[in-house]
Amino acid sequence: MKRMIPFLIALISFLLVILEGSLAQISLPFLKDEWINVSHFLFIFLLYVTIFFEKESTYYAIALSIIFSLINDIVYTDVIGVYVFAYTAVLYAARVLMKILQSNFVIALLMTTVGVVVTDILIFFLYNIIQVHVQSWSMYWQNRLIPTSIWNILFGLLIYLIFAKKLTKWSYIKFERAD
Amino acid sequence: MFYKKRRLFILMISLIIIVGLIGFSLRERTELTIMEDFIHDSVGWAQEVINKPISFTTGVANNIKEIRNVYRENQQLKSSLDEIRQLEYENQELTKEIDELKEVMDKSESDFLQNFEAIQASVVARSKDQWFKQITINKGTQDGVQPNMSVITGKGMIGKVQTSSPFTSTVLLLNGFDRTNRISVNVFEEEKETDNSGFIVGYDEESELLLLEMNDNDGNLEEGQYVFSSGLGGVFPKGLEIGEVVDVEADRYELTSIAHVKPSADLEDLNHVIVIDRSMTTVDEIEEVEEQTEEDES
Repeated sequence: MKRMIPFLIALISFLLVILEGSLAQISLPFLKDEWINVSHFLFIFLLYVTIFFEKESTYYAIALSIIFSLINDIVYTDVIGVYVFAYTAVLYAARVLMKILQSNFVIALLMTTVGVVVTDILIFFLYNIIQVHVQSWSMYWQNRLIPTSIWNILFGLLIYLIFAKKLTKWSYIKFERAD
Repeated sequence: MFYKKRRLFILMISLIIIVGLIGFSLRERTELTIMEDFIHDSVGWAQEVINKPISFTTGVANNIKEIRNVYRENQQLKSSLDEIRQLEYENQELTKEIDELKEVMDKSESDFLQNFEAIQASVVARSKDQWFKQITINKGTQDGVQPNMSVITGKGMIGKVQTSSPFTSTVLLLNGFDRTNRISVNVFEEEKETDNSGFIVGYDEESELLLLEMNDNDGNLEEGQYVFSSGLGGVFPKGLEIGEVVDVEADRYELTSIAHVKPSADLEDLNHVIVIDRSMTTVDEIEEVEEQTEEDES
């Protein structure tokens, strides 16, 4: 069990990457046409891994973020490296912050909100620099930033309900229980 | 002190690697590395498995919605059935005639721009970042899909194959086209013998319409006319429906007319698509053959 836990987390990350692509394929009826909601499920899950699972000397979230955002980049975009950079940089910042903060629900929600917004803005600027899109800032925050944030925070709550307790338990089993 | 320095070192190295990766992948390329092929295929396979229950539920929901309209649709279909019978007869006669003419002219199948082979495929995923207008389909080079083949649905053209791995391929949708991948098209006008030719040069994000640049300034271009691929670009076969002209305006210098074209196919809602393999050798293939012969000679 102890050795399996990192692989279990990796498997969940992989499934979330796939889910992101499958959900983009379904057009949800209650959304307006011009809204763009981009799923950052992998990022949110790894954020919770940082908050609830990680110890000070381990780098699981960072390592998984590099591997799976690379897959994300290869499968869903033309440009390799943008998601790797955005996800990993924000996760590293979250990791530094978590040294001072407690792991509880309010902090998790706050971190999700700030994390998703910062990640998406970072992605916007990186793609802007390399000319993937030529959208203006005002168009971006109305049509993409707000729907994306709401969509991801809602999903973040769902992931919190399913995984927060489990991750704390896994952390205990992995690092503290002697067997 | 030493610890701080090491951290800075790692940071610099990873930044350099990321900039290198971005630079490497930004080049125009149709060939993927083995690593990318492998990741595309394995993720594509998993995606297909996961999609099964999802598409089943959405399918059931759609069916329930459709049942309400069945009666009205049935009436309409019955009325159009008679017309279709007549069309079918005409079609048969014309096909026969064409076959005879072909024989007389002594041309083989692959000499006609219209001819193509179809490869059926399903959509397994869409790019999650909507700035990339891409979908992934579940057929790859093993099934004969090659980069630059055009992709259609029953309603019309939706895009072209961007890259293909052994078992999956990525399709660039029409609304992601820019000046580097234009389509040579004809506009169908009923009264005239010859069609008007032009190019689809890009996509207007705000109005969500394709931009069509005509070769001549022709007054007959009107809204409601249909746009078809002409087959002259060397990539797409002739006669694929692309869309309908919505409005016409003169370009900046009043030399040619520019039309906005609404794509016939719904690019948002795609499930099953057909990849078109043009029978006539494309320009790329001819070049390849020439290169090979040159290599052999030297």
